[in-house]
Amino acid sequence: MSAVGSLLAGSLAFMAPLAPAAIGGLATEYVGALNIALEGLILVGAFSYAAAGSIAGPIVGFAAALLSSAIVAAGADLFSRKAKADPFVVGLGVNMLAPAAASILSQAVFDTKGVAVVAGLQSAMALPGLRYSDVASFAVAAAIIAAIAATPFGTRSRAAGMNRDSLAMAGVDYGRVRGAAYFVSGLACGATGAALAASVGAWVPNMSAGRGWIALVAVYLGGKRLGGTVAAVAMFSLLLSAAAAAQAVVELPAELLMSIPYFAAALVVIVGARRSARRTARRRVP
Amino acid sequence: MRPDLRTRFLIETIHDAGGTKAAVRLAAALASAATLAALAAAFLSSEPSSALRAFFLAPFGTEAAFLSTLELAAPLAVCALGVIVSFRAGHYSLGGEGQAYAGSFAAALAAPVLYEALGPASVPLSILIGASAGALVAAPSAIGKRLAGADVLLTSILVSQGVIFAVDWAIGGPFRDRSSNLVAMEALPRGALLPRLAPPSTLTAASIVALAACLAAAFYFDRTRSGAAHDLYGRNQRFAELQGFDVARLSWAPIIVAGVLHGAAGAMMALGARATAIRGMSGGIGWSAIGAALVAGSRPQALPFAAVLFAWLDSGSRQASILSDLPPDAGQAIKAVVILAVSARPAIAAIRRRR
Repeated sequence: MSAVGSLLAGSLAFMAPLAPAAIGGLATEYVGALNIALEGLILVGAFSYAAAGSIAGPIVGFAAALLSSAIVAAGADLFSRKAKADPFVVGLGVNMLAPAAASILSQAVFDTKGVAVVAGLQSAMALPGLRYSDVASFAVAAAIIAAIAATPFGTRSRAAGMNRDSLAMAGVDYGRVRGAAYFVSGLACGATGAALAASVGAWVPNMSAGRGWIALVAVYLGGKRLGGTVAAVAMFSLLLSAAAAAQAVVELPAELLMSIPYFAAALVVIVGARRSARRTARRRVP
Repeated sequence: MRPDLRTRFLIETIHDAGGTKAAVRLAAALASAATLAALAAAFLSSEPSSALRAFFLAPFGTEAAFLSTLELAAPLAVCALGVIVSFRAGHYSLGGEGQAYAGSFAAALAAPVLYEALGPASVPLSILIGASAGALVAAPSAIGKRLAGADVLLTSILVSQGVIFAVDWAIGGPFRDRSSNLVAMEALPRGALLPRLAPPSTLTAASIVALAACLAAAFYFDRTRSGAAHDLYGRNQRFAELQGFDVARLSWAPIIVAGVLHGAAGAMMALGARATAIRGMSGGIGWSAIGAALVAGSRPQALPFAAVLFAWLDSGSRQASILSDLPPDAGQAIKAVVILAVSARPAIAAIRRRR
């Protein structure tokens, strides 16, 4: 495979777990809620895939990952709404609880709190650089895109984000729409977690490795729009793939190369904000 | 890109809760933590009585254990103070983890050199260098906010993640002490460390510095015009501008001060009981600090209590995992549930009002 070909294949492999989480982040963003718990939800999905998969195989594991993450996300939102708790703080709690709970459960399920390799859970390659679990993960992302772009749920979500009072006047319960968006966000993060665990056939503590945060950044870099978010995910994946590929070419250590996409993304956020501020200022000048 | 996270997402519970509410919140946190610790000991350990004793008594059982728990709370209190400084200005900086880690690394790197040149006088300078490293990590977010209005939440996370990778490399690579099994830098000479105030406990001057910093911050927020402007800016930028406050300075300075505090806390960890910089040593302190700030109702004077509560959970769960079979992560899980419980306070208040 040519260098460009392997770079693109690598990008797809990075994109497979990142895309669903970003789309999931966008789903709650549409209803006007920032789901800061993406990172923790990915871990819930990854652990559930490994735990359920170790008992009943990868397909059940994948389904368990989707469901468990969705239930945690919807539960957190329900708690936030009913207890009038700040969604940010609840998200922070979920992010802190998920790794600790997974570690405690890992001891009970796998008899170790470290890496737990499960035979038969590593997904086979469907295409060069792309596993069946990656394809399933893309399928979940595509289904959510279809749901938010072309179904009444998507329309209500956008309406909820724009003006929740109008939604109420139309007889639609904002809480239910928001709850559904969080459920969908959880499904997406479950797919991300399952794809990560299936790529190595194991549960690895903290295996989300910041992907939830990158997904959140992709939503904002993409201007909270579907096309923009997908483009931002593609950009991140390309950057991460380039950093991974560079390890074979450049003498720089892996950790330093892996830090570059984060610094580059921060720069993009700042430059993007600067350009946006200038555009706004120009519009104001009569 | 629309930098509108802040306007969309005002974090009500992170604003100053007021004296009474902060005390109620602390009491609620203590009660929920104690209940959860008892439940964890009962259900997660096969030796509940040993786990309970270890969890509740070991961290306070002896004078040395009690003082060591206070020492454990010091860096957390300083980090949480950083959170309060930035959040009360409306800057939701989530980069504390990377800032503290950079502070640990920089202090451990500078300490031996400074000690060679200055002797014991090197300690404050090493902490200053750690604080500067934290400020450096916070600088891109501050500059981005000041010059471009870039969202601090996004830039701080991104820079922090990048810095964590870079420091991981530095500690595990060129600066690693190859003679040790631990992925860590060379152990610092005893004279380059924070002096121990009450051996055999690990208590150092860091606890006193942390307490003094919390009291100074309380004075700043409650008694000075600058503190009032800081708070007002966090609640309503436009109003602060109309009042003639220096909003240009407030748009970046709190982010840098938070970086300084996180970096200093990281330096305290490296120059304290650990006596070096270890790979991954920040261990979630940036996130715990946000929780501690919340439990303290964003009031600096309540922070030492919140930090000691969290330090007790860490120390108690560690002791219980050694003396019984309670999972060591129980403390982290309890902290998370305490944060959730405390976040529900406005609802409890609402129920009370309805009655």
